[in-house]
Amino acid sequence: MTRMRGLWVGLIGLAMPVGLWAQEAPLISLVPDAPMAPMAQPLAETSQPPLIVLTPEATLPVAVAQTEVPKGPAPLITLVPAAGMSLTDPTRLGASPEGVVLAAAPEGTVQAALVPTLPAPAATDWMMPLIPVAGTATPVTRIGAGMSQPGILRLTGEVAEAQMTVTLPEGTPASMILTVALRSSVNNLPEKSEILVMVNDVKAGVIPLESIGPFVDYRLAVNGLVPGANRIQFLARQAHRIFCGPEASFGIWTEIDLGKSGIPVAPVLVPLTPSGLMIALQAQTAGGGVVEVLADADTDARMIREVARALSDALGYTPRLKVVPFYAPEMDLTAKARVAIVAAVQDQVSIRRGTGEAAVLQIEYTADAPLPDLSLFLPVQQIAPAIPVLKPGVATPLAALGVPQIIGNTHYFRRDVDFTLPDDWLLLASQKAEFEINYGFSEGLAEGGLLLIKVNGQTVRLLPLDREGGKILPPLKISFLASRLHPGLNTLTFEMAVPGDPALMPCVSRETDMLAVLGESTLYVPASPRMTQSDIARSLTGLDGVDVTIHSAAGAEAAPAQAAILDMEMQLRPLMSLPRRTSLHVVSMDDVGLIPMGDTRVSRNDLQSALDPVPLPSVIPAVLAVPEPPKFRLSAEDLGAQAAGVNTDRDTSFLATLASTFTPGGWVASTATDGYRAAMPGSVSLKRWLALHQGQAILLQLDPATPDDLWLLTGPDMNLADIAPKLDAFRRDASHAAPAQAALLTRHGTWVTWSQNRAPKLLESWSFGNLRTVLGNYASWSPMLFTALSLLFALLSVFPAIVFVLVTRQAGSRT
Amino acid sequence: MNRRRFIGVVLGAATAPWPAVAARSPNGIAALFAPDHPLQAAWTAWKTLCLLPEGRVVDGPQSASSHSEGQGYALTLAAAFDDPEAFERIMDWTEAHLAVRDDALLAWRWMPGETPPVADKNNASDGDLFYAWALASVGAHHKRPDLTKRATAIARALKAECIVKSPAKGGGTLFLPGAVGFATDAGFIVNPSYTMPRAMVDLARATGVRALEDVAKNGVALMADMAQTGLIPDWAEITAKGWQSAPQRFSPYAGYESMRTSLFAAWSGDTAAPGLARYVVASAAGDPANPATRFDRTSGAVLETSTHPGYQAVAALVACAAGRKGAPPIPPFSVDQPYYPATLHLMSLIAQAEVYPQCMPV
Repeated sequence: MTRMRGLWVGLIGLAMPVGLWAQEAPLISLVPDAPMAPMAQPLAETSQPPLIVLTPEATLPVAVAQTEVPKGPAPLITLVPAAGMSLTDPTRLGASPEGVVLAAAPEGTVQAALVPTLPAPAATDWMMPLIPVAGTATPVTRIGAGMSQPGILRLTGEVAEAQMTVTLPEGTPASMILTVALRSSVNNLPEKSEILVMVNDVKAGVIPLESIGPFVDYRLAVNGLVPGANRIQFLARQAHRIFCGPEASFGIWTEIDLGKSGIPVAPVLVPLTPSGLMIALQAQTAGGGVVEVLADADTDARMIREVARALSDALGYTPRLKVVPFYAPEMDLTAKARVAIVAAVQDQVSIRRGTGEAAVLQIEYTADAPLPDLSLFLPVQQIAPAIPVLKPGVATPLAALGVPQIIGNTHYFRRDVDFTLPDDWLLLASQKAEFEINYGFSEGLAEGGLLLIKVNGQTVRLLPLDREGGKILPPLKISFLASRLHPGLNTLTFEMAVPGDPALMPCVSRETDMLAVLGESTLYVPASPRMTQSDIARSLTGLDGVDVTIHSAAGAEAAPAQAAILDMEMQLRPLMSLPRRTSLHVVSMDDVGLIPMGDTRVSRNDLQSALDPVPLPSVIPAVLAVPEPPKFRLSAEDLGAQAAGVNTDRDTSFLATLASTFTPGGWVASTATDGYRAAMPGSVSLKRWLALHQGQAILLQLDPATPDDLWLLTGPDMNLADIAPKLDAFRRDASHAAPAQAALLTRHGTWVTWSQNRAPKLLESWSFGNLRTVLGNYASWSPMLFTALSLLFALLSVFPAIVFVLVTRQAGSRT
Repeated sequence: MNRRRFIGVVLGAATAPWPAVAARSPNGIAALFAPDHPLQAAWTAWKTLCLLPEGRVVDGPQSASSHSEGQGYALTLAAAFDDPEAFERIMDWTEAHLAVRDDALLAWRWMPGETPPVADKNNASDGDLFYAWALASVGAHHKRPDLTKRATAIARALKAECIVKSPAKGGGTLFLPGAVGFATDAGFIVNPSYTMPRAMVDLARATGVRALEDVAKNGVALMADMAQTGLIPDWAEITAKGWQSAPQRFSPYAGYESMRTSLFAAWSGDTAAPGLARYVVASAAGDPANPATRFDRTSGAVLETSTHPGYQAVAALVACAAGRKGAPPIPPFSVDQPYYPATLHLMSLIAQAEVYPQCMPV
């Protein structure tokens, strides 16, 4: 939780997905009677400015001229109430899916109704699953749409939206039954909680959210379906039974079991074609289903990894895979899709009908030949959008970062905007970055409502939301230290908390948007000379799963290791391009000797003690339950330990250190060490830091000569299957302290880091233009060293003068 | 031999014309599967289903009797799965209870609870063939001259008692089902499924009894001739005029016996066999989950079906081996079936694993 140190510690949120029709101009109404008719104009670029209506009488020539919008109503941002408008209106909640090829929306009205008596699908039918559109559901449960567990999508908050697609094979009729398995929190007030279902942008039905406890299947007869991709939207409106406020936002949720939701079709309708294979794979993997990869025991592991990656690329998400030997009795006979890798005498790829009607991708390969081309069978279709790159020295609008607008309608709201800075960008001094925010909020928000602007988890501005609402405010410039930004991944966060009014009653229905941040808001980051500083997280951002090696003593040949390699192959893709490829070596304690330790003087015992399993006592001793920092400050290390809030009572080496200090040699060494550490950043040695921490695994980057070789030492508690998601979470979390050379995965699943704070490196020539900035970086890196060097230079510059005076002094002169 | 290379050799042979069609390895059927091969689980299941501790193979539906066919099949399977313990048990029981003839051949049936249990000392040549094939294969693989000697004796006895000159012009030799009882006034009764080309060629080359290879070649030619007018019949009579339907007491259909001809042709790598093609077409017309087990020979009409997965396995293997698009998968081995379909099921899996990687059960 290092990134959550603000007012709402522990509340992790994500903004509502950005405007449903983001390609169209938002209409912002700031007064009660502003026209609400569809007035948006279709725009080619999302960066086009919104259409803003200032008064009821304002003429709307542009808007009027654009009333013939071919489909869908205009997106609206409403900060003041308007008659007849409700947040259940889908236009208030939608967001535009990007990067997905959708079928043409059906013309006319789609007629559908919730019919409880509709028959259940046949047991032999395959459920064509609902697949979340890439980037619209977070991998964890936050406000809005997120995955509470594999295959379970949770919609949290007063309003929330999920965008899905369902792909139907050729030959399926336009009228079918959509099954949605739902359950809601006990906190949901059924009378005010419902989900609107849209199919291909047309209202298909409304499901009351009244199923508390187990999942309940709701079946809707829907028309207007087309072969291929169909767009399904769930727009939830939920109310808490008792409370209103930020905490209540988290208490109301509805979950959709993706494994049991979708449109059932007969397997025979799924053809043995590449498109049919994709449908079968989606049907198999929705809800967390496993794809079996049938292969001989001696099949080249790299070949299996390549297949796994191709599957991941084709699906647009990482499926769970299980390598199963041929003829194995444990083969799932109900599987809808499988992959078979067969050693044969010719390279050939085909799709076969397998046991249980499964569509099987059969890959026949010859010895010593590369994997046959799979692109015709597993085309790369859906790749998660790359993290936008922010160019330093230029004010960049949010819209250019992929965020046309942000609308918040929950009492707790959070939206992260990720972006990357160049790998060779580095500013450590007092330069200022600037965020110019264009925003507005609803009038009449409860007193105490706040909007926090955070940069990499640190709050840089707190904006009140309880005054001057109901309009877009003049742009506000927010300056903050550019040193809070890192080369590589960064996160700008909008976090809103609005108390209930009153807090101890259910929220009243809202008719206006609580918060709007416009895409014209700009972020300016100063340019820097080309410099770099070693950082383990930054190296991780360039890691590709193909560059992961599990060394033999870590059980590389064992099935769990092979499965972990598969996971990493699929899950770990470079987040940004680095000049050199990053390699990750996974080793166990038996192979600890392979790890280059640099000059850290860390021993195997130091590492082992940090990873030793800790037996769980039946009663947690108080001294362990509440660690306390040392009560004294005798060295820079103690300062560091206190700053880290760690318990040094466990460090029994202190007395020995103290005793050694009182020997002549020890005093000299201790003094020199203290002086060195005072001058050189990184006040706690790795050895000491390890002694103060316990965890499951340690990620190390200790050899300055090979900063792109990372080493992950796994402890006995580490489940290899957890490596990929934990590493991915670490490198995507921009709030950790940077730079770092060691990161320890605690038993709580969080990462803590240690920094050696290596000296920055200048990657370009010194020049008059960069001199000041470069010196500033070095000065900020080590103020004491910089001061000492400056003093030394000053003294050295005085010596010639003194010598000159002494040499030129005349004998007997009084001067 | 490296497994992939072995498959390559086999497939290379499969595409070549006779006689390369049958020869596989100098060790015949022995040790095709390592102890850790996943198909070993199916062999273990088969043993649980069919093999008694003393080494007797029980054919439940046939009054729980044992016969030389079952013992020969079992010994072949034990050889393929390199299971010396089971091999010795099966061989010991067989030698003790069926090796009661004056020659090296086996009595065809042993009935439990009857006295004597072997009432008819006639032999069944397919049982002798598979039994000897297994002995010769293991004898070569494990350097066991005693086994090779026994296999040679059987091969010679087969030549002496069961290989006769065909009365048909240019018919070469015939492989009779037994030493006694298959001669008619006009010729001989044959069961085409008793001809297993792969086993005959292997055994001929291992023992030097070349007559077996010749009779295999003639049998394949005979079946090709039969396939000109329909499916391979279960039984037929060979006269000077050629082949014709067998007398009334023999099945005139293409049924449980006949289906083995396609399995054995596929196992021998002879996917071009006309009879195999006939079977593929006929079986494709039915429900893959409920395959036909008896056809009208000439029309191909389905007369009987079965849900036993062993018959599905035969149909699936043969269809895939013949390259039929949309061929159903070979089902996983199951013990929910009696001895005969279970044995054909395991044989189909062995043939697939050995010869047809593209037909892997998926």
